[in-house]
Amino acid sequence: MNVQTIEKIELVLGKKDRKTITELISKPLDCFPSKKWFLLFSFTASIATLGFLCIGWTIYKGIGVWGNNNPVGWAFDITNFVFWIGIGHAGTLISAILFLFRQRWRTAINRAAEAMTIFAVMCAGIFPLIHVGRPWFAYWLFPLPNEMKIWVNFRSPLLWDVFAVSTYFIVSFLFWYIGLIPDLATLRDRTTNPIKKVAYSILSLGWRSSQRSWKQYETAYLIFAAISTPLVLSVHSIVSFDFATSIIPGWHTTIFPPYFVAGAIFGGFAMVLLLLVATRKVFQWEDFITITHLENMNKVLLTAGMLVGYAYSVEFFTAWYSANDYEFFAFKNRAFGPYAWTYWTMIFCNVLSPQLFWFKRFRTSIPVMIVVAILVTIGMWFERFVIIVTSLHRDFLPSSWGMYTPTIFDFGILAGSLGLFFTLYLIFVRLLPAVSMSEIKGVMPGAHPKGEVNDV
Amino acid sequence: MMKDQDKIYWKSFEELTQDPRYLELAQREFMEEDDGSDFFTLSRRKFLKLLGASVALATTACRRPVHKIFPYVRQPETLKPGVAQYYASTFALNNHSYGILVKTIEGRPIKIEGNPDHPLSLGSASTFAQASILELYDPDRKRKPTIGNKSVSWDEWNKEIISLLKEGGNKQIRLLTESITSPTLRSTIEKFIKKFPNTKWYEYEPISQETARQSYQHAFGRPNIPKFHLEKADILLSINADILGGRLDSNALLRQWANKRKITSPKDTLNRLYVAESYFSLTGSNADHRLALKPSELLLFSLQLAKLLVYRFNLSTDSNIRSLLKSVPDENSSSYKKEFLGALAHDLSKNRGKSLVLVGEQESLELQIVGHFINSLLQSYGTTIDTKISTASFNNGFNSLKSLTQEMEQGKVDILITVGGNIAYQTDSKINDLFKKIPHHIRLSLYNDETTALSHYAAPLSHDLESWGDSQPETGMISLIQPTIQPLHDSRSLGEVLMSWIHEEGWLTELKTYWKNHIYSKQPRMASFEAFWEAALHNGVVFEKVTGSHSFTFKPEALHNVMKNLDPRFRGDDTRIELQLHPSYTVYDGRFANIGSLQELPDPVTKVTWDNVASLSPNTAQKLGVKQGDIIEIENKIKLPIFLQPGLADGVITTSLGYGRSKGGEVGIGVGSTVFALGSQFQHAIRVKKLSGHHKIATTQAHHSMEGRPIVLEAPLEEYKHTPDFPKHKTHTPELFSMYEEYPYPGHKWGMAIDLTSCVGCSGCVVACDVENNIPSVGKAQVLKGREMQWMRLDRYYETSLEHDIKTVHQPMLCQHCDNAPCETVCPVAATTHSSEGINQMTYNRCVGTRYCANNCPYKVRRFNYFNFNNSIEYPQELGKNPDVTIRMRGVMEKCTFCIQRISEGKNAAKMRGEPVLDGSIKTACQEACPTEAIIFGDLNDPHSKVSKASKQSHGYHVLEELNVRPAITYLAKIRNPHPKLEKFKI
Repeated sequence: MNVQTIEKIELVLGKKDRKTITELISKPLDCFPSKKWFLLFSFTASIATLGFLCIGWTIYKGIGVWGNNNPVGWAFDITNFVFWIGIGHAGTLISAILFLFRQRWRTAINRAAEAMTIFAVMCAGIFPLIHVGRPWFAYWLFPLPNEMKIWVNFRSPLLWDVFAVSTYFIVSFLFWYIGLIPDLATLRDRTTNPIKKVAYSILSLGWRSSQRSWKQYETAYLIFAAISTPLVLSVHSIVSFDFATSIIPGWHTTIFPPYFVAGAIFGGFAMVLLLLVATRKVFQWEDFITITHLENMNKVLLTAGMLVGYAYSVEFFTAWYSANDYEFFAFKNRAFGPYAWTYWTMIFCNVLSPQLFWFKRFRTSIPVMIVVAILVTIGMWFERFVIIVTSLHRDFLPSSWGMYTPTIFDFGILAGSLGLFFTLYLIFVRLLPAVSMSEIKGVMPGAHPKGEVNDV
Repeated sequence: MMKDQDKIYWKSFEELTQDPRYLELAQREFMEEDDGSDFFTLSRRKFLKLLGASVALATTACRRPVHKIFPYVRQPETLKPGVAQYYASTFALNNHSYGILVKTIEGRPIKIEGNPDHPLSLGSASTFAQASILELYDPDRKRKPTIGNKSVSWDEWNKEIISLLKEGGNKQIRLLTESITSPTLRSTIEKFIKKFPNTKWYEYEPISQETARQSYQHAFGRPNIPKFHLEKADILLSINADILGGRLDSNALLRQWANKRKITSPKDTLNRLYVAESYFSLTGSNADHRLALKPSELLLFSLQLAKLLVYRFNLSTDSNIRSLLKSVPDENSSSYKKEFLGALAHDLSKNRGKSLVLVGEQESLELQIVGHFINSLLQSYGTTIDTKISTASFNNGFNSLKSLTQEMEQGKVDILITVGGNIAYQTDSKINDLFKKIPHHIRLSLYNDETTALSHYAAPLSHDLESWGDSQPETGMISLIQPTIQPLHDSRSLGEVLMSWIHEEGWLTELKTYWKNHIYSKQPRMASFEAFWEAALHNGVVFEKVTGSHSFTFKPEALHNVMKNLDPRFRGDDTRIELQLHPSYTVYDGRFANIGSLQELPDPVTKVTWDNVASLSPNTAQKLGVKQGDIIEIENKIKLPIFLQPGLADGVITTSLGYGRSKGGEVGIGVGSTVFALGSQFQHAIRVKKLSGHHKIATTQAHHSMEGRPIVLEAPLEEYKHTPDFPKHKTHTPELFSMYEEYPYPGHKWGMAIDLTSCVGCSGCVVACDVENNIPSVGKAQVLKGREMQWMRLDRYYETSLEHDIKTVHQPMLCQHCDNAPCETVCPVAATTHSSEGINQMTYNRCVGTRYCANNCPYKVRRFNYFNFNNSIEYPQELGKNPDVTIRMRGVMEKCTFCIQRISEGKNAAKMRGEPVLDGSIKTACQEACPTEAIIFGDLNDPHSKVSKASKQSHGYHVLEELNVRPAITYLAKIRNPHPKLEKFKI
């Protein structure tokens, strides 16, 4: 692919000038939120509150209010954790990896995707904290010097998780914030509201848009992209180690790291797609977030869907080929055991539904992509449920096999995390530009008068 | 100063004298110069003082209430704080009793273990004996004497009763007790009867010896039940006898049986156990061959066996008997039953004098007589059946109760005294109406139970652990019951109450006098009675020489009567559903229903907790159109949930007694349904009706097949002799190498060996572990969710290679203390670690509760505190907790520790003695309780220890060895001893 072909795709439609773009993007920040926004906000915030009530009750009474038991020690808690961490992948993937690969169409979607990443990781972060039996001691998972000279166990994948997730959160947050600086400066310069002025002034760190600033800014951005890229791969690899390094059939699999990363990209892109389809419609940003963007994302979805499909089948094959009874039983049990319906839901949502995107008609159809994205999101949640619950509920000794039934608190906390996620996103689109103003101007027709791209 | 006309009221001299300073002060509102104004003129010092004070106030505001502990004013001479003391005592239940050791710490009994010196215990205690410590501390026990609903003092209560008893000499007094094995108490009751001559004494137990006594009377002319010697029998047949678990003397029988069930080399032999039964008993699950029959087929089966022995094997030439048995129909069909009978008769006839047939004591008179007949054919009397010693038995069945109920019906009873037992619950509801006709019902009981509710005067009985007593389980053996704690409540023992009623010396004096006159006098060796008494208390058992044996010559007319009265019904009728009842393995006849740990102890066969269920075979269920959890109604009286149980004869429903209590404590009320409504028999022909609705049955094991996995390894004796290391061939574990240097374990290396051949799954270890380690019971709702807390469990798997002969294996499963423990690596906070002595340790204080360790445990033996299960501890339960074991809070993981507190104790004791730790000096609680000595614990580093010898046996293996977790527990594969004709060994 050469530079010319990229340029041929129009990334900003409608022959807009820069001022129009600035105005269009900052419009939601200038006006007072509509009734619809408040309605939606109160809905999602109520659900989030409900979730927090459920969490409060859990902390008050004990993990017993959930359906977890012996043998199923982890269920919705860790399923939700892995689900949200997975969703949190797309943002950094879009902003870092696609940046390094010069996928210039990313500019329209990276801001929202990164914000979504941060919110998803925040949602994910709740679960390791609340899933422990004594959350008030959860800080013991950090290597804090103490008078008892007890150190953490560096052999435990859960500890790696703590480091991986916290590092990922910090780096993603900084990357997102650095990308925001030029836009914050623009907002500072535009606003007449004194409060906003002060806030944006502080946040924009005295950005003057000088040549020198831009040069340093872009270097910093590039470095952050380079730092983030391995993190995208490492976080979910490490999350997968929670399972892969254990000895439970169905968990103890070497394929898990790449499989989890593919799954994370898959689930994350589906969520970004959902958010963007709604955002572009509401804020009338169809000219920056074009059908081409969505189609590109659908292609990624199709690819990632095939990858996870491949992983599902290879797992099965390996289980059979290993001639290990326990291993093969675990997979037979997934597909034909009492939780078979979750397995086939997963297969339908993750493997079959994206196949529609082989056809351009479906790739470019908004309703189809909404349905598929929702299905993929559901499917990816079930994937984690299948991995966690069906492996645990029937392991080595048949005497200790059991069943897991979620309680109202399990559902409440899952719903609450969704509520929190959407609440945070709703606040975000009203406080910060959801599309990068400065970057979008760089991909406008005429941004490079000589028709060439030189952004190294 | 007030003036009232001329009088002057004054408060002080100053006021009286109208001192000016006083007048000034009286004008002011505040006596002290604190109008708050100086707050604004704070000095630096004062500010800091105030600040300090508020900080101190804020930090100390919410303090827990202070509980002061009081030191001993004079420390008891032998008591060392924190050091356990053991007292020999006796556990008595129904007609059986055996010696126990009560472990007390600072005067509180905390654990019951068997008395190794008592021949009926030999160091192990049954589930009931062990759980009686929980009964002692049960908060629902009756606490005060009551008259009507009014609490009164014992003095008032006794005064009332004595005046009642004395009033009018013609008052008809009836005394109804449970079985009393105490000779002193029996003599005291006789004294009571002498004092109040209008008294008649009845004994009643729902699980009685009445029929058994009758059968011996018919067969041999004496009602006494002889003692069995399983250790002398090579071939055993149990017909609904449930010798290995369901009988009260099973603890002793198990040890005898297991003596012939120990394999150390291919040269060893095993006994062979045949079981024909109409319910699935623990004995049946351990049989080499098991035949499931309908209750009505048992008699025919036993007669067919007798006929085979007489005709085919010519064991009797008595023409009279031959002609009697001639009419017994042969088993024509080429069924499994015929093969079973053939093999059994073959075995029995070849082992005359070395075989034993046991028939359940609740079986019909006829069946028991046929049992005696077969035993006499086999020359068991004098060999496997003791002709000298007879066991305690009483006429305590429903028949003996009949005259009482008749009298009650006719209104002839003026005063009824019920002691212990629970007649209102244990019989059908008719008796409850009879109680209304009795003007004065005096009740002595442990709980406010169903019978207490029908009484006018009720008083709390002391627990056996709180009172003096004695017990004689069989001739020639007697032991003392001594109190190990002051009565927790305002209670008295029956002996004490009787003594106060007949105005004699105290109960202890009575006991001593009886012992002096009746027992000491027969013991020639002791110098003084005091020395004898001390020795009897110390040893826990006294023996008397039994001389003279009884003749056991079978009377043919008994068999004649059996044949004559042979009920045509017992020829088998396919259309009827038959109900077979049996005592509960966990709550017995309901008297242990209020003990949570027993309710939660899974039935050893069904693994059902907190319920009795209608067990039936899948075929029967299909016929009746019912599924697991459906509710059926039996005879319009009893509602029971359906439980599918393989290994039952078609057309049979079985269930256990002891459930459906309506009073007597919070825990037991409403658990299951009572089956006493059907009457006193254990077998009924019933009509069944399906009801709507569904019942959730809480089982601790939902899956019953091993799925072909090498978990419990077993082989017939022949195969073992051919390939002694057969377990090695059942799993293929390549030798694995480690990149790291192995830890050498320089000191001890604790390990365990569990012999699956002699483990019968009696669950004594589970209760021992519960009590020793303060394990809470969690209730049915939590068991349904799979959150039971027992550290030790007994996995039970069925093997259905043969259609009729379902095989069962029991496997104790506990933390395997793996050297490569998967739980240890995954804990992020290092709360579970490996000790330098090879123990997988759990640090509760460090645990944050991620549950990762439990997920990664291949044996699933870790238990998580999903709630604060110990929140419900109420007085006096806390007194019974083992002070050496932490009470775990919610949110932490727990599991078997190999009784680390016992290891420390043993090591400390050895250190104090200046000796190395002796093999066998440290016993885990499960090992201590095991009646068959199937659990061996010790130091694997000591090459001479029992455990290292056992672990090196050729048929030893590790469960899931291929995972390379390297467990410290070696299982010795199960060796069965099938009859070659019934099960052919293939090489």
